[in-house]
Amino acid sequence: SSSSSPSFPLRVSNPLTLLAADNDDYDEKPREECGVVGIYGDSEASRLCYLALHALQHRGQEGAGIVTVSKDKVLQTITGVGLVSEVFSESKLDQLPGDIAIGHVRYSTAGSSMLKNVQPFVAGYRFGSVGVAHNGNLVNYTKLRADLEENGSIFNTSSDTEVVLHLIAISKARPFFMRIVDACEKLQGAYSMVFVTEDKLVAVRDPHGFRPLVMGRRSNGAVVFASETCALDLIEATYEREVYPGEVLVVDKDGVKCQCLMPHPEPKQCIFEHIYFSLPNSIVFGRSVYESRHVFGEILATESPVDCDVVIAVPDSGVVAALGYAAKAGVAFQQGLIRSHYVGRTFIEPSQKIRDFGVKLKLSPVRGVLEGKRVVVVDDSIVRGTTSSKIVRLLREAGAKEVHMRIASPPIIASCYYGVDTPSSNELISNRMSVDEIRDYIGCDSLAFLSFETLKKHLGEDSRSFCYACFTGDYPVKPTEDKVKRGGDFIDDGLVGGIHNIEGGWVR
Amino acid sequence: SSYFSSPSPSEDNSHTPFDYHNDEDDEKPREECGVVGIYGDPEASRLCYLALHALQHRGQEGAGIVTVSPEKVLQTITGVGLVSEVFNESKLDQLPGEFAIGHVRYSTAGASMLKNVQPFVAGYRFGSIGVAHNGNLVNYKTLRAMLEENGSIFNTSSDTEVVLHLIAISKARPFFMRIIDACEKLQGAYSMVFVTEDKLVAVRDPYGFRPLVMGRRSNGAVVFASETCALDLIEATYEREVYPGEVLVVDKDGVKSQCLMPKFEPKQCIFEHIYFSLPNSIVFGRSVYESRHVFGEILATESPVECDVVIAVPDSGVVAALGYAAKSGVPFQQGLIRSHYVGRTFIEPSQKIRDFGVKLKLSPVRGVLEGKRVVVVDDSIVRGTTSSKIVRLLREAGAKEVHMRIASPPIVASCYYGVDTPSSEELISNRLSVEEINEFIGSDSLAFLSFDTLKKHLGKDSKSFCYACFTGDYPVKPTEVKVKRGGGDFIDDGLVGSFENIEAGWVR
Repeated sequence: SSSSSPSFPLRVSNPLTLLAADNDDYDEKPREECGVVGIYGDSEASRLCYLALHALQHRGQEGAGIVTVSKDKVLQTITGVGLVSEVFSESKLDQLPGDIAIGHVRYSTAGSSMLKNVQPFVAGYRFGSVGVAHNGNLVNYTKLRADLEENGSIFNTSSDTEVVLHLIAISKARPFFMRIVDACEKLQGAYSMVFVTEDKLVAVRDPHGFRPLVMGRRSNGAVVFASETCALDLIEATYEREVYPGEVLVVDKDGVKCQCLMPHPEPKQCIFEHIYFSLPNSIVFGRSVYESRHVFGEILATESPVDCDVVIAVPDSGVVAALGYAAKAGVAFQQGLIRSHYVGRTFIEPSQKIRDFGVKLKLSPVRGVLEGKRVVVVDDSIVRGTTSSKIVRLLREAGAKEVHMRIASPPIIASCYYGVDTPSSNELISNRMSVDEIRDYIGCDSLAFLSFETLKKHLGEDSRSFCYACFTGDYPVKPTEDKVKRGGDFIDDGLVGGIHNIEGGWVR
Repeated sequence: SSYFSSPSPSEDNSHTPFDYHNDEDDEKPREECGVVGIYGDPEASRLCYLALHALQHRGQEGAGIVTVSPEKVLQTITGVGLVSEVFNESKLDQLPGEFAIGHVRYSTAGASMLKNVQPFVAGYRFGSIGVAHNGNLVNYKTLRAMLEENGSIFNTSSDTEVVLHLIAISKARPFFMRIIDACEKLQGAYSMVFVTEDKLVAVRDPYGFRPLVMGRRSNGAVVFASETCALDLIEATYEREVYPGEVLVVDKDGVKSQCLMPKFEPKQCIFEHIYFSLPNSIVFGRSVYESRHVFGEILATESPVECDVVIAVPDSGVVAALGYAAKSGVPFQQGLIRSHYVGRTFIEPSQKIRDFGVKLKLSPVRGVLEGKRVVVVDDSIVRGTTSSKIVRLLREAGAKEVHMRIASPPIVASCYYGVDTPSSEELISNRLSVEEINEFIGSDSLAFLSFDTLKKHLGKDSKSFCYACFTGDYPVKPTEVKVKRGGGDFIDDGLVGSFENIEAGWVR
């Protein structure tokens, strides 16, 4: 039954009417927090770094920065808020000459301190200067910071990455890479980092290998590090290999040297890189992201078949799994939802509420594909469920006779502490409801998730090398700081109105 | 063999900015405008803004809205850029009123960008009038010369401005008769919306070259828009097409329809179904999605080839590729991933990265392509340079064979009715046979949608479409022939270098 939507006063000056569409894909997906790049030995290092960061833009759209080492051995930094193409211009890149560069793209979760938290960070210390760009999250950041402040260190940012610079500065070890090893031994959590000094580029990956980091080489011999292989592809660097969990790679005029951090714990690489974060054309953790997603869709079709007339995807990240589902089920895939490519960061909504406005801005149903059909719609994950419920409603309004939702990942029941911005665990719908209850909540005719056991079985001998904390609540590194619900998250859900409406949304 | 050698670094050290006017492809024909009109909604400007957003694919360089205030004053805000860049909450607050017209456009003359952004407003002896126009007036120069001879002055270089003058000098009454009087003098393509102190008027030329539809909101507000996707976003129900040659007047007495001069046979732009409109739109009363899917199916029937996978040039080639794959029984895969973050200008390394412009936007998925015989479906070929880069990209990603299938007939002639195409002599199909184009772009085979089969598919409606770009037969004789333009077009091709290189590209 359709209910009349409440009528609001004309042109209400309510800041909640600004929908902050922070993520180009969807409001409520988990968000990768960073992408990193390092380049050694190319006369156009800053330009290549800029292009590689562009290729990693899906890993962060709120800030970007590059550090280069000039001919006079000075570390130079340019950072800014916004997309790579907004932060950098020809003239700015001309201010960054040098053969060595590191770069960073990121999301921001604290608006007021946005610019100062944009990496790479650079610090001067007794042995010179060091710059760092970090993808991940340090779970013992608060304790480390307290220890450092107790001993006289001061902090310029609220970023966990800054503690690394302090730890390097206070280290007694020599040479430089040993100071990095010394610092890393104190870190707990996730880190894929690139460092630059006056004459060296260093890449480090934490012993669990939570976040990806790969190495490539250009035909002129330049060495490139990047979060994903898609960045290597754009700048014509050939993918050479992963930076291994627990590895420290030092690149200087003498070539590339490898060192291991402490004794080898078992890798725990983030499975969600294959589910959602990375681009389908990337090789992550040595496996093709495209192939993973296609197989996840095929498994879903085997495990959770349903009679249907058409298979569609929630674009873009659900497309490959939907193709897998359709191929295995022997049902046609169609482009039933069209994504808008022009949604800006903020959007203005009429005060007379348009139902499901945030979703309608981004996704348009194709009535010719949907009308009168039994539809399977494949998405990669469900977080809070509100976007899914709007999509189901959108499909029904476009004439779908049945809507069967298939999710190409297991239920997400726990928050991530290793560099992914997820809601707190109690905000996750799968933490609070059974599959049947979620199905009722989002309003579809049936709902199924990828089975966790089958996912592990598919990964075979590699299955122990992945982190599944978001599906199990079993954390390889114990988090020491709990996440709590934040008010701002609800703006992303497209809800507009008083706090009463927000609370009301949870009680059903 | 490659037709273009990369210049060595020493040949060209300039840093050439690439100006990407089109988010999809550098060389596709470009729709020049989208229009919106709204009557009878207290939030007309906000709805107009949202509807323009839904039409952003029809123009990304400028946007504008005119409303009529409660004091009966026409108010205008226009700007350069995307809708979400031109408008914000405070600007929309400056546009109160119950009716509005809006416009999005491309610019082909950078220096005069802002003043050419519509809607245009003029005061004349009977009050004020605003207009937004999609199309092109082929007798613009003659009309302008005649008007200037009689004392009219022009503020813009836009053909649309002559319409305002013609209305102003008309002796006819009431208002809609002045519009008819003006339109009788126009030749070419026009889908226009006008606003006066108390009326909204929609007009479509007798041939109906460009689309214009009518919808209604649940509160009774009347909406006009170029495509139904704009109606969908603002919850207006699609009612019908504005018919070729129709003038619709909306005021407090309701909607009245009037015909322009004796009804010509419609000649609606077939390219709206091939490329311009969104797949979820209904254009000229037909589903764009269904058209494209059928075009792909026809290609598979007419031009089959042994292959292992079917892929698309995203985004506009996807639906046809799905049709091709379904008919041929070969799986569709997402072999090319499109970047969603390419800005308007981009900075290239001075050491040329081969096919840089295409690599910025499209990434091949090696896991889909390696060792495979690939059919790649695109909607059209204009100059052929982008196609040759795509073929090269696919081969470098390991494709064993690349078979190009084009879901439209060869484009042999330029358009004069509101589409920014190159001059006829720049169109590769005007100069080369299919076999020669196949060699130029480097594919293993090439086939186009057959023109005769296209017409056969359209059935009794086939006489209602304009095919001038495929035949050179113009329903309205163009009086101003397009000529090749200078370097600017070739930058879009991704070529960098001296004029000699450009000329050499044509001589093969």
